[in-house]
Amino acid sequence: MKKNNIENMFDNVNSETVEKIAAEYPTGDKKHRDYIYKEVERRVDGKYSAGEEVRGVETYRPRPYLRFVSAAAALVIVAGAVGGSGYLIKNSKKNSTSERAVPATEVSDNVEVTDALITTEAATAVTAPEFLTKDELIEKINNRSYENYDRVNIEYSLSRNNGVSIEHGIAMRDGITGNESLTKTWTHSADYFPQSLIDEYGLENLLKEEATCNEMFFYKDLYICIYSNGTDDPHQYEVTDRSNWKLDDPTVFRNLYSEDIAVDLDVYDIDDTTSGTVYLGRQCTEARIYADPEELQERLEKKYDIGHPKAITEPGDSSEDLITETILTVDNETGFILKAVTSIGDYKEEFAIENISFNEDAELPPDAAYIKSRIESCIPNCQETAEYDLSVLNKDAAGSEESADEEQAAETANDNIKTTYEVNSKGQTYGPGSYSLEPEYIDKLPDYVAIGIDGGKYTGYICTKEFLNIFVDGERAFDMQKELGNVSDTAVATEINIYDKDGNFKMTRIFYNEPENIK
Amino acid sequence: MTDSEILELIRCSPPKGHRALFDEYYTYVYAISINILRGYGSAEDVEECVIDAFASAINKLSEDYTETIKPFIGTIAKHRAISMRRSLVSKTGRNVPIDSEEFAPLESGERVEENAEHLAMTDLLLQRIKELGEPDSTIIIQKYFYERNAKEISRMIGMNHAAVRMRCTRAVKKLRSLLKDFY
Repeated sequence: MKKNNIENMFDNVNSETVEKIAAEYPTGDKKHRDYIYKEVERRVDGKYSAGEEVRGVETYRPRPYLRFVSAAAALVIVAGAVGGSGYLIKNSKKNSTSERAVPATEVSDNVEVTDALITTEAATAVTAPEFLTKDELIEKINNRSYENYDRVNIEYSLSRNNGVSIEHGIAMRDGITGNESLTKTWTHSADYFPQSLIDEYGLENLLKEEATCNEMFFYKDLYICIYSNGTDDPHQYEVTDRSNWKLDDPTVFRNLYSEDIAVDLDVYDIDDTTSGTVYLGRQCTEARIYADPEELQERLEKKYDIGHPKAITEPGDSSEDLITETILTVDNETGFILKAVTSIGDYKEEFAIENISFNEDAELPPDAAYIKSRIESCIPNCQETAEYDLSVLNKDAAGSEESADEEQAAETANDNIKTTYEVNSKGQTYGPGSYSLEPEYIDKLPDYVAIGIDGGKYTGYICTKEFLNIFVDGERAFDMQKELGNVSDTAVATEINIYDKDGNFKMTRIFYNEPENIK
Repeated sequence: MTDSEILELIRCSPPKGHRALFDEYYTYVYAISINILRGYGSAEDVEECVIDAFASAINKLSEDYTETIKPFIGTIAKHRAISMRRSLVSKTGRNVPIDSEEFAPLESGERVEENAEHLAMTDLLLQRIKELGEPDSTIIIQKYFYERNAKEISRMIGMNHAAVRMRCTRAVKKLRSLLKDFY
């Protein structure tokens, strides 16, 4: 097929498309409109009587450049609370050996401060930051060795326009199956919305409508995306052939901000001096890349053969002495850009990985059963999607359900264990307990549970009901014996009867327990 | 503001009504104008066309007009833009392609099929642009459809122009990867 120049993408669009674009994307700022309207007034001069002025008709509604969830296309988005949040990445053991992850926002660019904030064990493990040289850094980034891991999870945040808009994302890859997922959630502050919109729709409504989320699943040959936002509108899904979708090419991580930088490192100038730091408990290298915006633009346009529209020339702006500058924090091991803070004059955007985990520390992307269940709660975004062949997904999901059924069957089998207990001469059941010695399982336990005391020195049976009538938690009663008997000042000594299998009394033993475990 | 409200305002207070008309349909008229003049005129030519179209519409819009405004003003804008394009072509010697929409459509089935295909592709293009997320989709539309420069876009969306350029370049790259078969 003959390829077109992307700068001519809007050549020869028809009236219908023009109308759509005009409805969706207003153009011109108010100042410019006022200027244009003055010219209109001048041309219709004489039509107005003297003294009539145009004031107070501010009906201009700059339909936000934000209205991306339309009923028709419903492409983008939804609130992150949906679906994706159920797959939050667990904290990487590599990142933090304690339960507490290190929020990216808590980690400054300063090595000393960073060290102070990471968990003690991680800090102990990584005390002397080592760093890569400029050339090593470039090589590491370009190698993208993180893609060699069988399993990778990344959770990140991307703050744009000085924090007015925040993108939060979770990317998961299973290198064995090739399945991947990427959930992106966008939220905005009040500053994101023009006052005219706030006045018309209300801030709360706008915040809900624009709190949007894309849950993208790359499952086998399928690409499935679920769009939603913070309103009560039904979630929509889209299905297409994965090969038509390039957002995971070759892996889903190539769709992240970090890759925007990695792929264009060659068009930036890079400081020769790099430094070491610790970020998320990992040895990292910090480096500064920069460029004059005009030159950067030229280089990028040349590299990607991106031109300007034919009729309009971009005016130079050499009078404003701006520099595009990005401070990178790069993982020494994998070359992944863990943090990138870009500033251009007073504009700032910040990309920060909040969690990164590999292999056994990482979770698998959502499986077929989960994706299927998500789809079932959504409506298709078009007829083509509604008719898409999802047999692969359905089959795999059914397989998962079968596995679940097998587990259920095993559980049911366990439920029948009680019927296999031996019966004594009095018609009572006895034997080893197949369930925890807890009140909730009393119906599944035998009447007499076999026990060993003091390391098996004494054996016999306890009367299940009697035992559970004394202790709040029978398992805990057993667990506490040795320790409490020796060291606790508060433990309560409780006498317990031991029986033989026929329920005949044999002896009394003392159990030590904390008062709260005694009924 | 609805058409009937605009017309009522025009009847009660023409200046306010005309301003309301302008505010409501500025983007629509601009979009029609730029679409026809793309590749033939400058930004100033497009603005001139928009001004001309509104001035003409206001002059023609009588107080007893009760019809829908959109087709009325859309037709004026289209005619003004075509007229301006002819004028520009005569100055530059360029030719207007015969397959442009302004010419009567050919009635063959092949043409109908081609149009349908083109429409589907345009729909796909708009869909993929939306999927870039904001502000990238707005930047792409403003830059490549409305042909606004980075400074103008920066004023619209509250970023500085260098940031707009950076985002634009990245967005184009991403868009191209999403539409690999076409671009």
